[in-house]
Amino acid sequence: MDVWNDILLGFEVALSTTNLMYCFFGVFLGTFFGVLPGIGSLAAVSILMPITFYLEPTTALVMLGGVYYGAEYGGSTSSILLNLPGTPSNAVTCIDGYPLSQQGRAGLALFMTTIASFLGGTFGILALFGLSPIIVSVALAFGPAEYFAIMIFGLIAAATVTQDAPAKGLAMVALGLLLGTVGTDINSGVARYDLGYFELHEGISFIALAMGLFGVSEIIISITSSVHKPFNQKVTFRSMIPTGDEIRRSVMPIIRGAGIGGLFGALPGTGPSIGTFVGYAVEKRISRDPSRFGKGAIEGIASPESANNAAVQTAFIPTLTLGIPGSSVMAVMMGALLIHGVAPGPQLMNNNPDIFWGLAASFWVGNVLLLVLNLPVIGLWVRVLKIPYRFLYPTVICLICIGVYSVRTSTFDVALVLLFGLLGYVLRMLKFELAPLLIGFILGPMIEENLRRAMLIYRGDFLEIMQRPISGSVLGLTFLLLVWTGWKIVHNRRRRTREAMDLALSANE
Amino acid sequence: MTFRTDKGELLAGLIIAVIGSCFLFGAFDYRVGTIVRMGPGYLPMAYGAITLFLGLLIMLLSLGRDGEVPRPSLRAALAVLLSIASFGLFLPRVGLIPAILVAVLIAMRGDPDARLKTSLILAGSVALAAWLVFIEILGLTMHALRLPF
Repeated sequence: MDVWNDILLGFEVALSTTNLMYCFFGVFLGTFFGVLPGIGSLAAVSILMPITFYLEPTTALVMLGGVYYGAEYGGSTSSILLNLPGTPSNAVTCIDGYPLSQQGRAGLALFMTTIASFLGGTFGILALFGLSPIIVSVALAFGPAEYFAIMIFGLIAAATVTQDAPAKGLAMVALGLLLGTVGTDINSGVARYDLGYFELHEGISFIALAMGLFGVSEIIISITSSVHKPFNQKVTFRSMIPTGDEIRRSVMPIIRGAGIGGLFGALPGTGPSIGTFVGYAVEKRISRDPSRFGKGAIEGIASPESANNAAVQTAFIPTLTLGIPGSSVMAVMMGALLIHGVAPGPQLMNNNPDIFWGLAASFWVGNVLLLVLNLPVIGLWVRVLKIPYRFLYPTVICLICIGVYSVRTSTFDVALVLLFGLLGYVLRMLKFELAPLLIGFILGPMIEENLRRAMLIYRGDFLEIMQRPISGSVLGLTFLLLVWTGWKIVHNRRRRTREAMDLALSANE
Repeated sequence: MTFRTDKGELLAGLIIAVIGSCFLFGAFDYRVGTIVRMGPGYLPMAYGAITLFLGLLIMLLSLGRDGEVPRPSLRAALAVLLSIASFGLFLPRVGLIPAILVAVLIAMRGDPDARLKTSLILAGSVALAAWLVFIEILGLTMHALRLPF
């Protein structure tokens, strides 16, 4: 079968010495950054992206992919040991992971995390292998109307599904769209919003935006909130081995988590965060003894971690096959691909099969490396957590500055990092989630292009888009999503008013 | 009647609305066109209008709730931002090593417990490591040290 040849080709590419080496670097650095409280997978990928510029496209993506799932894994280490999530999707791991470590069973928690992550990731990769060819063959029939619809859906989903305040999420997407318009309009050659700076003629530097918004703002916030409770346990090998009962209880959660995470990861706009939450909620609801959750139930770790890594892998599916980023980290990956001159999309699999399959195969290699690397090296990560934050953050600041400067040898970009760092900090202080902004920024120009084309083809008849089967149903889904969001906003307000009234009433008694 | 509002949310919505309107009015400098023949200003106008609307929506939703404006931590923010600014100023003029030294020293001011000796040691090590990794090993095009004359 044709696919087998491609898969073999992929492994050949992935196991080349260079790619293997950079995969290892990526996984190692990613885990390191993930372990650091405050720097999540998004910041890690953004910060390490400039280092990949001097590499081949495949190698660069292999390394960045390694950083991504490495960071997700490292984040769970920080969650379990310090009750501080390293990345947003690891927040769920704190709930049962931290109590386990408090009971002296940190080794077990870390071990189960590693295994669950590996198995979940493997499932995600199998999905990637299996589904991608199918999606690509369908996608070749996609026209600009379909792409437009899917992108809009992705934007709305990203803005509303994981947010407590959907209006703010949508505002962030809109802001990202606006920032994406800065630069030269391809169609007319007019430079939009350039404020007289020629450096802006190609648009806002994506790296500067990502590193400023996420890296710098993250650092500022972490300086003030770093609550470092020293971690005093020794984590030995023996403490890691789970009992037979625990193994038995983890099997189904891992499988369920992988399925749930894989599904949510593949949808454009949603990613690992929601996959982990749903996975945890399902386990708790299905469990025969829900009261165990929150006190160190092993299912409470196995399912979310498996979901997490499955979602991380399947998020690559829409990104690589359709060219539509599945999450904000995928947006960064896409940015990296575009910078290397590789256009992700249905043609990628046909024109550059070595890149596509090499990348896919490298994910599995990376997951194996993660497994092999992290079991013995846990002690190192634990020690990293003991370094006071004040030594780490100036180093990271310098990394960011050097990284951004080296892209175009431009101090203008450093100034941009400064500006977006400030903006990012202000927005986060005002409780905005920044990730949707990045998705809006990347998708904005693509949406414009597709809308323009669609309007040309259908001569301005917007209804055409809604009448075509695929784009119509996707837009319909989007509309339902918006309706649900609107209901959620109203419902939240009613609930809050009711709670306030109850409070007032009980105070009066 | 006193207005109860979540002041933090109000400010958030206001900032968004302001940004949106800036882009919206800026979009009219470019030809807007029609939906069939979109000019460069069409989508910026649309996005700007949507942003403005969302900003106003957020402001509206803040009414009837309570909340304060969050207080930022000025010390940390200033330290980090000034550190980046100084890096950007020093690097092209005096080279990588002085830029890092200054950046790290300024950045460490953000931590109230940082001491001068530790800062100097850290600054020196980071500068040395960066020089080794970025200029010697990776070969990036920047001066390690130069005179600004």
